[in-house]
Amino acid sequence: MSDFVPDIPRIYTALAEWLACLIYISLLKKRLSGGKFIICSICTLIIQSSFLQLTKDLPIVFWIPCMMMAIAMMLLFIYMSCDITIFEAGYFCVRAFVAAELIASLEWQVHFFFWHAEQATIVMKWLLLIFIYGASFFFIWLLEKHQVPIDGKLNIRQHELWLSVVIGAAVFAMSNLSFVTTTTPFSGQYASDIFNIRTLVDLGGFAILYAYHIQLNELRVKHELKAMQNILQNQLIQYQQSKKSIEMINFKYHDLKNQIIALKAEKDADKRNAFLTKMENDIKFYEAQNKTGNHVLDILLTSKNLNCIKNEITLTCVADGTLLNFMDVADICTIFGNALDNAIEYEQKIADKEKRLIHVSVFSQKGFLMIRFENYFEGTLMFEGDLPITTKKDSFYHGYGLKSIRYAVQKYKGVVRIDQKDQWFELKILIPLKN
Amino acid sequence: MIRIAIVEDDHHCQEQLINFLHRFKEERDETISIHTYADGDEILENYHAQYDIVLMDIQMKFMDGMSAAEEIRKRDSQVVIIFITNLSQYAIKGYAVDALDYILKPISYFQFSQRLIRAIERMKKREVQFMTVRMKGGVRRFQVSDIYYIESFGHQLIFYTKDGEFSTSGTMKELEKKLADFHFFRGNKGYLINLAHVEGMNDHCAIVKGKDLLISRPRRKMFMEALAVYWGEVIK
Repeated sequence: MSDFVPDIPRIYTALAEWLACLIYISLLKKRLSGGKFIICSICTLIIQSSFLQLTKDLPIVFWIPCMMMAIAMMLLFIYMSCDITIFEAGYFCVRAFVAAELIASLEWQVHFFFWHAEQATIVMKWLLLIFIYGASFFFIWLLEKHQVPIDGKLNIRQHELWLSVVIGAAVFAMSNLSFVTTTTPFSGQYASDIFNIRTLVDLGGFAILYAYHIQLNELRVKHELKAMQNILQNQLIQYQQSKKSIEMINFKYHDLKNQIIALKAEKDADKRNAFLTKMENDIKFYEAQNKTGNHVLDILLTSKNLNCIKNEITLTCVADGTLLNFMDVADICTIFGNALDNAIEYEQKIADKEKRLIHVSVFSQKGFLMIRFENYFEGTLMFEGDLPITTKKDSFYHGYGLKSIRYAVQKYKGVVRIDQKDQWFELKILIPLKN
Repeated sequence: MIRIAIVEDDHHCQEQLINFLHRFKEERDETISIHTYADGDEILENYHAQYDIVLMDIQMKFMDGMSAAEEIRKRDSQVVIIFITNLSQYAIKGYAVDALDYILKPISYFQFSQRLIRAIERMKKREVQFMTVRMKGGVRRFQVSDIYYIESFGHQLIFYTKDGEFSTSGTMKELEKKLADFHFFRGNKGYLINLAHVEGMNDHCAIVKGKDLLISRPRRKMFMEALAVYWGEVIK
C-alpha cells in the first residue's frame, strides 16, 4: 500500500465486518439460541480483530490471502449462526463484506476530511466511528429488513451465489486498486481521490447487489403467487365437481326409485339377483370415488385424470394420501399440479396413443415419503445443472414448474431428482418424515 | 427363468394375458413359466412363494384380488404383484401390499410389456450379492445386503453387519472403489452407508439400523438423491 496514505485501522475494518455480519444474521433464521449466539459473536469479534491487527504489518503480497481469511471467518460466522445452506451463507457473506467495505471506507473518508493525517483525540475518533457506523448500519438494516424472508429461504443456489461473488470480487478489486498501485488508468493520485473512488465503487457495488437481491426476492414472491393461483384454480374445480356430483346423485336417486319399483314387480329370483348385483356395482363405483385419504390430492387427481381422458392418456396412480397430511395445501397443489401438467403436456405430443402413459405413486419407504411421477418419454433428456432443459417452446414457463416443485419440496428438507430410465421420464421426490 | 402366475376369472382376459406373455417371451428372449388361476382363493390354496410375479385381477367372484394379495404378502415379501383392473380407483391402495404398479383394462400390449419390463428389472436388482474381505483370521465372505455400514478410524475399517462388528485394516478410498457397484454412500469422512438400511433422516443424521450417523451438510442433498435413485430401482 502507498506509504503516504494512512489507511483504515485494521480494528475499524474488523468491527465493520463483524457488524455487517450481525445485521444479516439478525434478519435470518437463527440456529444458535441467545446465550450461545452471544458467546459465538464475541469470540468472532475477538478473533477477527486480533487476526486483522496481527497481520497488518505483513508485506503487501499477504494482503489478499489475509482478506480471504477475513472473509472466510465472516462466512463461518454467518453459516454457524443461521439455519441456512452454505450457498445462502456465501451469498449473505458477500453482501455483508461489501457493506462492511462501504461503511469502513465512508467512515475513514470523513475521518480523513476532518483530521487528515494528524492525530485526533481518541474520544473524537471513537465518537465519529460510533456515529457513522451506527447510523450507516442502522440505515442498511432498515433497507434489508423487508427484503429478507423470515425463514431466510431465498432459494440461493450455485448460480446466484457465483453471480454475487463475481460482483463482490470486482467491487473489491476496483475499490482497492489505488492502494496497490497508482499507475493504472483507474487509480487516484491523491488521498482524497483514492478515498472517493473507494467509497463510490463500494457504494455502486452495494447498490448492484441490493438490486439483484430485490430481483431474487420478487422471483420468490412470484413462486408463492403461482402456488396460490394453483389453489384457487383447484377450489374452482372442486366447486364444479361437487355441483356435478350433486346432479349425478339426484339423477341416481330417481333411477333407484324406479329400480325398486321394478324389483318389487320382478317375480324371477335370478333376474332379481342380477338386478341387485348391478345396483351393488353402481354403488361400489361411488365408494371408490373417495380414494387416497387426502382430499386435496383426490381433487387434483380427479381433475387431471379428466384432462388425461380427454387427451387419451392413461393415468394410473397408487397413492397413500394420508402421508401428505403434514404438508401445506399450497405445496401439494404445486407439486402434483406442476408435475402432472408437465407430464400431460408431454404425453399429448406422442403420436402413438397406446404409449401415452403416466404413472404416479405416493408411498412411505421406511422413514421417508416418496412421490414418484413416471411418464413414457421418447427423446433423450439433456440436463442443465440438475434440471432438464425444457422441450417446450416457452422455456421460461416450463423451467418454472420444476423450480416451483423443488421450491416446495425444499421447505420440507426434501430433494427432487429427475432421471431417465430407458424410455421413461422419472421425477422422484424424497422427503424425510418426522419420527 | 421368470415364474409368472395369472389370477383372473375372466376367460377372455386370461387368454389375452397368456398371448401377451408369449409375445413378450419371444420379443425379449426371456424364459417364462406361466400358471393360471381363476380366483384369489385358488392361488392361495397351495402358495409357497413359488412365483416371481403375480398378475392379479382385482374384481373376482370368491376372493377379490386385494385380499388375496394381502394373504400372499404375509407369506412372501419378495414376489412382485401387479394388479389388473378396469377401474383405477380399485388399485389406488396397492401400496398397502407393496404393489405400486397396475395395468388398466382394456389391456394394450405396450402398457403390459412396459410394466413387465420394469417388474423384471426390479426383481433382478434384488438378487443376492457377495463380497469378500480380508481379515486377521483369514478371508470373510459377506452378503452385501447384510452390511449396515462401515466406519473408518485411520487405517482401521469396522464393518457393522447383521452378524455383528468386524474390523479389518484398509482405507475408505479403497473400500469405496470396491463397493462402487453396490448401493453405498459416503455420508462424511468416516462412514460408508448401505442405502438399503437407511431408516430415516433428521436434521444432521441418517438413521441406520437405529443409529444416528452424521451426514455432513454439503452431502445431505446428494445423500438423499442417491437414496431416491436407489429406492426407485428396487422397490416393487
